[in-house]
Parts: sequence; C-alpha cells; structure tokens
Amino acid sequence: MHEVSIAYSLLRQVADVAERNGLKNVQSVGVAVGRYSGVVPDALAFAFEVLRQGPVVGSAELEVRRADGRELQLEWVQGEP
Amino acid sequence: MRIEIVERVLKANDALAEEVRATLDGAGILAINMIGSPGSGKTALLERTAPVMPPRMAMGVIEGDVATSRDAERVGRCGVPVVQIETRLVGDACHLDANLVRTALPRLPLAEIRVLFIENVGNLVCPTAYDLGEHLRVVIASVPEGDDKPLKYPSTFARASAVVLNKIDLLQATGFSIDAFAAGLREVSDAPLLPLSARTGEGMDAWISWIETERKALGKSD
Repeated sequence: MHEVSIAYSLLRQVADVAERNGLKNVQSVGVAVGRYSGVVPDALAFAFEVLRQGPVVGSAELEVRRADGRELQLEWVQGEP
Repeated sequence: MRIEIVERVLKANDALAEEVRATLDGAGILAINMIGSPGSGKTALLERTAPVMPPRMAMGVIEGDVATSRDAERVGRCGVPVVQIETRLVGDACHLDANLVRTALPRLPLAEIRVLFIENVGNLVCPTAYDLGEHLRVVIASVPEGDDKPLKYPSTFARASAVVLNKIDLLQATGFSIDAFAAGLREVSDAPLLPLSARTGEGMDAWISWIETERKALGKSD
C-alpha cells in the first residue's frame, strides 16, 4: 500500500519537470522499477492512475521499465509544450 | 517533446533523509533502522539490549507504530530516552519516512545518545523503500515466521546491513531450519546473520559486538 505515497511523490516530480520544461500536457511518464526496489509495478501503476489529476498530469500514462537492482527512478517525461 | 531525466522517485524523502543523517553525524550518533513483521520481537530486542549496552554506546529509541504508545512505554521503562511516532496521526502510514524521523529528533536528548534505534512500523514490505537517514538497516525475522522469509521478501532482506533471527528458543518446537534460512538469505544478501533470543538472552553478545564493530567502521566511536 506504500505505492500510493510513492505515486504521489512521482506525480509531484512529474509536475515539476513539466513546469521547468514548459510542458502544458504530459502524455506519458517513464519510470524504472528494480526488482529489489520494494515497489510492485502493478500497484504503482494503479495508484498513479487513481491519483493523477489536473490539466498537466491528468491524462499521463505510466510506462514502467522493469530493472534488476534497487532502482526506483523517473527516467523521462513526454508531453506537449 | 520527450524530456530525459534520471531522478530518484522519492527524492523529496531522500533529501530529508540526508538532512537527518547530517544532524545525526553532527551529534556523533549512529542510527539503525529496524525493520520486521509485527510480533517479530523488535521491541523485545530493544528491551533486552538496553541493560547490556555499554555506557559508551548510550542508546535512544524512536518507536514507530500505527497506533498506541505501548512500545515507547515498554522501552521507556528500561530507562532509555524514547519518542513515539503514531502514524495513525498521519494517515495510518504503513512505514516511517524521513520527515517523521526529522520531526521526532528534537524531542530526544541527542547529546546523551550514541546509538539511535529507529523501530519501524511492523511490516516486512512497505518500510523498505524509505531511507530514514539511518546508517545501518537491520531486518528482524523470527523463528515462528518460517525459514522461507528471505526468499519471499527479497527486497527487504537485500537491503539489510545485518539480519537478526529472533526467538531461537523456539527452534525445536517449530522445526525451523537455520540452514534453510541462511541459504535463502545468501541468495539475496551477504549481510551477517545474528541468531538470538530476546527472551533468554542467548546470542545477545554477538548483536552488541556487531553494533560496536559497525560503529567503529563508520568512524563513530570516540
């Protein structure tokens, strides 16, 4: 259930990246989730879908890249200026 | 437009964790994040540790629970400075985070403490992702939980600096295999395994000397 608070942090980071780069509408977000990160990708994707809201991140899709280590990283943000 | 970045997802938590670590380093304190299931004996281990900690390693405790200050009262009765964090006051959180620890620190007499134990909320999964600003992370498993736990919760065990196996006084009654547990642990981690019983006191010497050795290795001894 901690994936909810992780998704919340992630969405705030995505909103920051969008603002810094002048993106008005984020279409997709790439994260790497390691098998030893302590995070379940499906639970993270579900929490992300429930929590996303607002004009900038409200329709963002989450793309999870499964990795082998402990990483839990935001890798890219794609959107329209 | 695609913006490439590499940013830890919990970077807000990580920044606060670095702040906590800097505060602790400034005060010469070694902090140990204790993670384990409910009932694994985290609090019992602290109760058994308090009377045998040498004065040069004076201990303090931060207790994390969803509700009640029962654990802080238990540890407090050992004459140890202790602060309770109740996560029901912050949305029933299933884990501690760096901000909760940061707000607890000013309520402890840091100048009197050399080793700070942070007892996480009883949970073998959720606390794993959160750096609290600790120097060491200890996973407390116990015999009645079964000898397959390192393989079933690899993320948790993979990040441990040491693994305590508590309640070894129950080995015979449960048919638990220390060899199987150790083999499972070796698959995910090379952390030392410290079998002990917080009830009988067996194995406590190795636990205390592990803390002392790590403290020296981290340059925290006076």
